[in-house]
Order: sequence, then C-alpha cells, then structure tokens
Amino acid sequence: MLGKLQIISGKGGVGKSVVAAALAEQHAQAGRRTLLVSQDQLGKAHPIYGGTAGYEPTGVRTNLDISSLDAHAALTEYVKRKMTFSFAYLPILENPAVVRFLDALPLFNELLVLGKLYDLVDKHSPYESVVFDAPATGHCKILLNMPAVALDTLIAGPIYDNARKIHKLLTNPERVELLVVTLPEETPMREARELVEFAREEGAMACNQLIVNRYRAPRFSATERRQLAAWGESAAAASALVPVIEFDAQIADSHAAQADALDDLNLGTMRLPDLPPADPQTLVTSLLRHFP
Amino acid sequence: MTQPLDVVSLTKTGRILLCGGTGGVGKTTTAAAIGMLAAKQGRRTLVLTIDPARRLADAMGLAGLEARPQAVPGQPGLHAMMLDPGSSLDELIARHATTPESARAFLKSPYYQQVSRTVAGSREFVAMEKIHELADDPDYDLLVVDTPPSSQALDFIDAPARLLELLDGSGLGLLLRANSLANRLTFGLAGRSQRQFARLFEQLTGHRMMMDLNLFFDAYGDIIDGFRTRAQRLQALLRDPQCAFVLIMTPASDVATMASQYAQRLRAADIRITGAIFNQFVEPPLEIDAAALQGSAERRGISEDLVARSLACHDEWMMRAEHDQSVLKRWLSASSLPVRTVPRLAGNVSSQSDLERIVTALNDPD
Repeated sequence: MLGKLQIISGKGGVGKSVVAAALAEQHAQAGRRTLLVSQDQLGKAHPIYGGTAGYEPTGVRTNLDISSLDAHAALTEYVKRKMTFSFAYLPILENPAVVRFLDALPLFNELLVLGKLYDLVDKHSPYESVVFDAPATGHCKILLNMPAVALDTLIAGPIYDNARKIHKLLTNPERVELLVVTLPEETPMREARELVEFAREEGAMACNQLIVNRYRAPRFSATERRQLAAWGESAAAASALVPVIEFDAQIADSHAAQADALDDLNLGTMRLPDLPPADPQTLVTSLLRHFP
Repeated sequence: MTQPLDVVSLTKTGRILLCGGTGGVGKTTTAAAIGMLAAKQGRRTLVLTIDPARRLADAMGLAGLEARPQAVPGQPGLHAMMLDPGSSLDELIARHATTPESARAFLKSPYYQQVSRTVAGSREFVAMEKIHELADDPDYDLLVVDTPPSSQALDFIDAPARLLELLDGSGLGLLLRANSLANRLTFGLAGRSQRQFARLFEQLTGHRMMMDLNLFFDAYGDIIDGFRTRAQRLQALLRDPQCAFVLIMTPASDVATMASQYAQRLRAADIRITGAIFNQFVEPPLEIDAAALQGSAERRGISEDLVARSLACHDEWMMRAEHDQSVLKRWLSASSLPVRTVPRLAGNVSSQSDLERIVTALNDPD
C-alpha cells in the first residue's frame, strides 16, 4: 500500500531514536502496520530494542517491525530485482575493492538509501507507516538534498530516474514529513531552526512539527519559590531542601526561555518531559504516555 | 581504583589537547573551560572551537566572524578562535595541487562541486590541518581543540586515514578504468569482471556521472600525493606524546560501547587517550531529615502539598544523582582510563562565571 514516511532528525544527543521508537509504537498500537528504520546500524545492537538490526525487517511488537538501511545491501537488492543478467554482476558487488569504492562514493550511497525508503512506502510495501530514525542534522540535510543534486549532476540512467521519483515523494506533503527533535537548549534549538529552514526552503518538504524533548516545566510558582527560600534561610530543617528546589527552578527557567525560540516558524510544538533515567525500552513506553 | 584525571597536569605539560566525543556532550564548553584553566597555570593558550552557542561565543570574545585568534576578555594569556572546516576544503585543495590549473580543474569538476561537503572526514581533515599549522606557532604554549560533531566518539582520530581511503586516486578512480593494468594488479580483479563493474556502474548512473567521476579522479591524482603526505603528518601529530586526547561523555552516554571502543584503540596502540570527562553529572542533594522538616513546616504554616512537592523534587534529583554514580561505577569497572566528573549546571553555560565553575570542578584535587 502507499504508506506514509516520517523522517526524524535533530542534533546529536537530543534523543531522536527514543522519540522515533515512541512514534512508531504509537502507530503500531493504533493498528497500523509500521516499520521503524534506522541507518548504518547493520550488524550493531539496535539502540532501542537490542538484538541485531538487519536489512530485512524483524518484528518487535504487534504491527511493529524494525530494520536498518544499508547502501550496499540496497544496491545488491536493486541489481537482483531490476537488472537483466543480474547473476553476472552479483559476485562483483561482493569484491572488497568494489565495496570500498561504493562505500566511499557520496551521492550514490545516499540515493540508494533513499531509494530503499521509497520502496518501503511504495504500493508493494506491506507498511502503512514508516518511521525513519534519520542521521543527525548535518548528515540529514546532505541526505535529503541528494535527489536534487542528482537531478543536477546526472542526465540519465536508472539512478537518475530513481532520484526523480524520490524527489517527487519527498516533496509530497501528503506522504512525507520531517519531524525535528530538539532540546530546550540554545545549540540544539539553533540546529533545529537550520533544519526546518533547510527542509522548507531548499528541500520543499513538509516540516511542521517540532518535538522539544526533555523539557522541564516549572514545579513551583514564583510565590512558592520565595516562600521556600525564606523557609530555608530561617529554619535549619529546611536548609537542605532549598538548593535543590532552586536548582530545579533555574533549569525550568532556562527551558522556558528556550522553548519558544522557534515560535516565528509557526511549527506545531510537542513538549516531552525530562523522564528519569531508564533503559531505552522503558523510556519509549513512558514517552508514549505523553504523546497526544 | 582508577586515579582521577589530573586536568591541571595535562594543561601544564602538553602542546595539544583534543576534546572528542559524540554530539551534545559539551565538548565546546569543556574545551573553553580547559583553556581557562591552562591560562591560569601561566600557559599561553589558544582554544580552537567549532560552532559555540552564541552566548558562550560572546563570553569567549568570539562575537565576530573572523577566523583568527581573539583575546578572551578578562583572561590574560587566553585566546580563542573559530575553526570553520566547512569553507576551507577548497583552499586546502588549491594548496596541495601541483599547478593552479589542476586545482581549478578539480574544483570545477561537477562531481566535486556537488559532493565536496559530504566527503566523510573532510571537516575533520581541515580542522587538523589548522591544528598542524598552529602547532608550531611560537605565540602559544598549548592548543585546546574542540572537535567536530560526530556519531562515533573517536571519529576524529580516524579522519585523515578515512579521507585518504575515500579519495585515494590510485584506488577508486582506477576501478572505473576497465583496461588499466595497474588496477588489475591493485585489486586482483580480472579484466573481465572489472569491465563488468564499469559497465554496471555506467548502466546505473548514466554516462554523464562516469565522465564526471573520471574528471574528478584525473584531477585528484594530481593532488593526492600532497594530501597523503599531509595525512601522514597529521596522524603522526596525533600520536605525538605532546598531543593528548580527552574523551568527553555524559552520564547518558553509552559507556559500555565507549569503553570497548577505547579499549580497541588502546590495543591497536595507535593513539593515546589520556582520560575521560563526564559532563553534566548530577551531584546528590543534601540529605533531609523528613521528621524535622514536617515539624518545621507545620510551625511555619507551609502547606502539606508544597512540602510533598518539594520532597518529590528532592527525591528526583537524589535518584538522578544515584543513577549518574552507577554509570560512573560501570565506566570504572570497564575501563582503566582516568576520569573526572563535572557537575551539571542549572542553565546553559553562557558566561565566564559559569565557565569558572567548571574550571573549579576540573581543578578540584579530589
């Protein structure tokens, strides 16, 4: 069926993978057949579900599969499916020199990854919803910009045709959206702005949702803060309490000051709480409860 | 028990101190604080930084966009400078080409124009080039370097090798030249399978891409030797005893993976990682006598609800502090690398007084 693709990116360290997994689990729980796909995790432990993420999807929950994208595996699959006499080419693709060459070649790689994403939401795909846990801001921009680069650089050939198809998909707001994850801190917010502006201006993509992760809302009103401070100054029993209350309140102040830094971009904003440290799967489950 | 990382000694002795780590762990802030600490030890220090938050840049006297050292206000002996690896790959290529014509041909090749910024390792290579250039500058005793963001903590170290492998003209370009004898010798590909690869590649990408790539690699062959020499020198610089690498982490980092990566590097014996710094480490709040607190609250008319919420807040930070301690323990059991913790501050680090607090933590004799 024709599925929907959500691309999740943001600065490194903002919690993209956990947010992407929570989003995917939400789709799955709503009864949609869902794939959570990450990049370059092949053979490594999956950041959320453990195990080894493979190129072929594996089920982790009802309606939820995970997989990892890999340019070389995508090329092999492509050659097998699309080329006549593919058996003649397959051994060459396994040659170490060829693997290195293809690995090293920008443009080619990104297009293969995007081509695989295209297939995952194409009409033959079983998935209704695909959530792509994309690379961090800088690499994500490069990745998303590649179809346009290819249309400039190439003139013909299957890769060119693919780039045109992918470009059309990425710029279709009905089917693809970019969700930007950030923290209520200056640098992640600035990178989030750059990514949103890139997606809208250069990428012509739908990008209407900002997810502010690990947001600490104020726990105490200004009056309460003053009351507690006065208490701490005059009563020995409360003096140990006051520094941690102030610490907490100052973090909340700084988060409040940062949280609306992108208001001028007219994004829908979802604030997710700063959950207590836990293993990734517990975090995903807790985060889900805070999703609208 | 591992000794704590002695940051003061590090700043007193070496020539180059690299701060590496994954995104969002506070490399930039740590580099700035280490720079301040070094200047306090009387060493003329230059902090090379990438993309600092605006207020931190202001605090470091880096409000302007000039890519040359600026004196940090109020900090005698301390300079800071922005590294801008994005823009200077062209410059680097122009410098390494044998003739201006070959540089122009390379820079003008459509393939280079489209993909230069995406070439893996190029940012790091350019950053290292700058470090190399400044390493002999008699104006400074110590360079403290904030490394470009990466998904793998130790990527910076591998950058010169990766860039070379990626662009090595004798390797990549030849693959597309089906009839090259050198190629057959290099890769052991029989002429027939090589021709097949070239044909497959052309079928996939079209003739124009093949032409572009050939142009790219032709021009590349001309500058590759300059690059190779430089990359070897940069690798030697990283292995120099005068150069220290500090791994920056937070208690949210995947310490198990970090520790094993570090151990691998150590086994390969190709880099000296001097220590690790755990940033944003939550310190345990003071202990509370709950009974005394309740009594005092009643006498002072503090509502039960406010007391309960205050205690919940206290408990949460206590729990976070315990978590961070347990991460530290896990790290210490997996790694013999000296480590130091830096407490989490309430807001963004945005002023010199915030940096001073980090300096104090780095300087703490415990």
